[in-house]
Amino acid sequence: MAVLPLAETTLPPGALVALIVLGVAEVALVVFCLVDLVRRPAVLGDRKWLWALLIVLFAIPGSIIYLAVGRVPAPATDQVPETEDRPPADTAADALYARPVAAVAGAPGADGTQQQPHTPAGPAIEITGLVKDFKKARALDGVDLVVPEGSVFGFLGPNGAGKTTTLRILAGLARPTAGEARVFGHDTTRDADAVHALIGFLPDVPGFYKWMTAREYLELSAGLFGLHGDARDERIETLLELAGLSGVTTKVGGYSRGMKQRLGVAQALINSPRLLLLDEPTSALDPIGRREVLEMIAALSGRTTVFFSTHILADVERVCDTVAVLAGGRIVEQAGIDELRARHGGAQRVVIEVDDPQRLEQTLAAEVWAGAVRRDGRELVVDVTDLELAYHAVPALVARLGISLRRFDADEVSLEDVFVDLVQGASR
Amino acid sequence: MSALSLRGFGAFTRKELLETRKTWRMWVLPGVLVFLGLTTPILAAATPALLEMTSGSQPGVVIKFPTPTALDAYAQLMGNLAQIGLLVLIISGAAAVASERRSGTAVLVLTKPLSRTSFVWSKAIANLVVLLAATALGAALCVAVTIVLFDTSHIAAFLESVAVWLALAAMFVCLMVWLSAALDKMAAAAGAGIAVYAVVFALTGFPLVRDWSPAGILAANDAILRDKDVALAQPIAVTLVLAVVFLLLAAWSFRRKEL
Repeated sequence: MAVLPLAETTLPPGALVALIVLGVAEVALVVFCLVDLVRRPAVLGDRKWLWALLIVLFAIPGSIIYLAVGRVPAPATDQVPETEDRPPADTAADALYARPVAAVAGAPGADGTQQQPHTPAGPAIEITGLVKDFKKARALDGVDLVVPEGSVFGFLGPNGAGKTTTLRILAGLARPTAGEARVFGHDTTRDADAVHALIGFLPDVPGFYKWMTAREYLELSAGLFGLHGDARDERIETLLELAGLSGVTTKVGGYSRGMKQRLGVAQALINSPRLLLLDEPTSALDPIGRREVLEMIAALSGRTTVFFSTHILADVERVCDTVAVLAGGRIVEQAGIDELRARHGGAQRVVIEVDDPQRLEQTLAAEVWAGAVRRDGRELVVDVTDLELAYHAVPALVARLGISLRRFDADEVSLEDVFVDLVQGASR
Repeated sequence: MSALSLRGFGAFTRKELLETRKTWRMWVLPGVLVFLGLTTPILAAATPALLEMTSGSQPGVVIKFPTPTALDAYAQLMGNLAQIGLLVLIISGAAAVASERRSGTAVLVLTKPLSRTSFVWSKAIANLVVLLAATALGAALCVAVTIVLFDTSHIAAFLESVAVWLALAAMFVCLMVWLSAALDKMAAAAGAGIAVYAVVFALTGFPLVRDWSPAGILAANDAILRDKDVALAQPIAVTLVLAVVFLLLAAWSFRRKEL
C-alpha cells in the first residue's frame, strides 16, 4: 500500500489553501458563536444547549442562524440621554390638532376665529352587551359602555378585570364572543379598516422594531396612513420633540421603558386620531415620565377623545373628566368624577385621634349623626350624616369622657374609596 | 373590509426590505448560499485527493477515484441546495410572522391602516426577493469558481437546474409564511415545515405522485444537469400553484388570528 504524498494528489493548485482558509474561518466562527452563547444572558427560546447543538452540527449555517435570530439583546437601560428641552404639551397638541372636536366646537380658536364644528358619527365608543370568552374563563360578561366624543375617559378596573381585552376588541385585534363594539359608528370586527383610520393605539407594553430609530418608526407609521412630503416631516418633527426624542439617534432596542412609552404615545398621535386608545400608559414609568405622559394626555383634552385604561387612580383624578369602573367582566359604574364621588361619598367622614379610642367608639354608637366607625390604631374614621353637627358634638363628647383629643379632621371620600367599594361590591 | 384588502402593502413591503438590509436577516440565506456557492466547487475538486489521503492510511486499500469535473461541482451544489438550502429557508422562514406576534410589533402596525393580508404578503415578497438575489449570487460564485478550477462546461444546464430549484424554494417560502401565520410558536412552524420537507423528499420514491408534485423537482436535478429528457412541466406547475395556495392560506389564517 503506497501512501500518496500531498504533492502527487489531484488537488488543484490553490484549492488546498482555500480549504485551509475555509477550515480556519469555520472553526473561528463556531468558537466565536459558542463563546457568545455562553456569555449571553438570554437566547431565543431560552435553550442554550439547543443552540450549541445547532452551531456544532451545522457549523457555518448553524452559526449564521444563531447570530441572526438566536441572540436576545441585553435589557434596555437609560443609557441614552434624555432630551430636556421639550416643547410644552399644549404647544405640541396645538401643532397636531388644527381644530378642537365637537365637544368644544364653537369655542374661539387660537386666532380668535370660530372653529368649524366637527361632524360626529355618534359617540366615540359604543359597546353593547360585549362578551368575550377564553378557553377556561369569561373575561367580559355583558359590558355596556358609551364614551362621548371629546372626553378624556378613564377606564378603571383591578388587574384581570378585562380592561386590556376590551381595548383589544376596540382596536380590532380580537373578536367578541357576543355583543358588539363600535368606534364612531364603525363595527370594530367587520369594519376594522375604517376604525384603524380613526384611532391611535398604545398597548401596555409597546413592541417596536429594535433595529429602527424613533424617526424611522414614525416614518413607517406615517407611510401606513398615507402621509407624505412636508406635512409628514413637520408632523414627525413635532412628535419627536413632544416625546423628547428629536436628538436621539440610537436604535429603539437601546431605549429605556420610559422612552419607549413616549415613542408609543408619539406613534399613536401620528394621524391626529379622533380616538386615542391607551392601555395603562403610565404603569411602567417613573414619576417624571408619568407626569410627562399625563401632561400630554391633559393637553389633548377637548381636541380628541382619549380612552385610557389604568388602575392608578391618581392619574384618573388628574386628567379624566369621566370614568367607568370594570369589575368581574362588567361595568359597575360610569359617571363624571365629581358625580361619582357625590354618589358614593354621600356620607362624609371625620378622622378623630384620641388617647383612648375604644371608649370613644362605644360612645359614638349612640350618636344619631355617626354612621360606620373604623378603628386604625388611635384613629377613628367615622362616616357622618351631618358634618356641622359632628364638628360641635365630637369635642363635647371627648371632654365628657375625659380623654385627650389629638386630631380632628374632616376627610373627603377619595376616588380610591369609591373604587374599592365598587370592586369589592362586584366581587361579593 | 374586503377579504383581500392590500391596504398599506407598499409601505410595509418597504419596511420589510429595509429590515432585510439593516438586520442579520440579510446574512442568513445569502450567507449560506454564498458559502455553498464558493465552497462546493472547491470541495468537489478536493474530494478525490482527500479520500485518497484517507484511504492511503488503510494498509492494503487502494481506491481509484475518477477525476472530478465541473458537472460534479454543479451536482454537489444542487444536492446542497436541495438539503441545506431548503432547511435554512424553513428555519429562517418560521420566524416571519410568529416573531412579530411574539414581540408585540405586529399589534402596533396592525392597528394602523395595514391589512392582515398586506402584512403576510409583504413578508412573502421580501423573502422571495432575498431568495432570488441570494440564489443568483450563490450560483454566480459557483460558476466563477468552477470555471477557475475546472472548465466552462455545463453552465447552461446548471443555471436551468437552479431556476427549477427556485420554484421549489419559492413554494417553501410561501409555505413558511403560512405556517408562521397559522401557528403560534416559531418552533411549531419550523417543525411543521421540516415535516413537509420530509414528505416531499419521501415522495421522490413514488414515481406516480412524484411527477405531479414538488418532489418531481427534487428528483429532476441530476437529469437536468446531464441534459436528459425529464418531464418538468407538471411538477413546476403544481409547485407554483401550491405556492399561491399557501399565500392565500396565510392571508386567511392570519385574518382569523387574535393578537
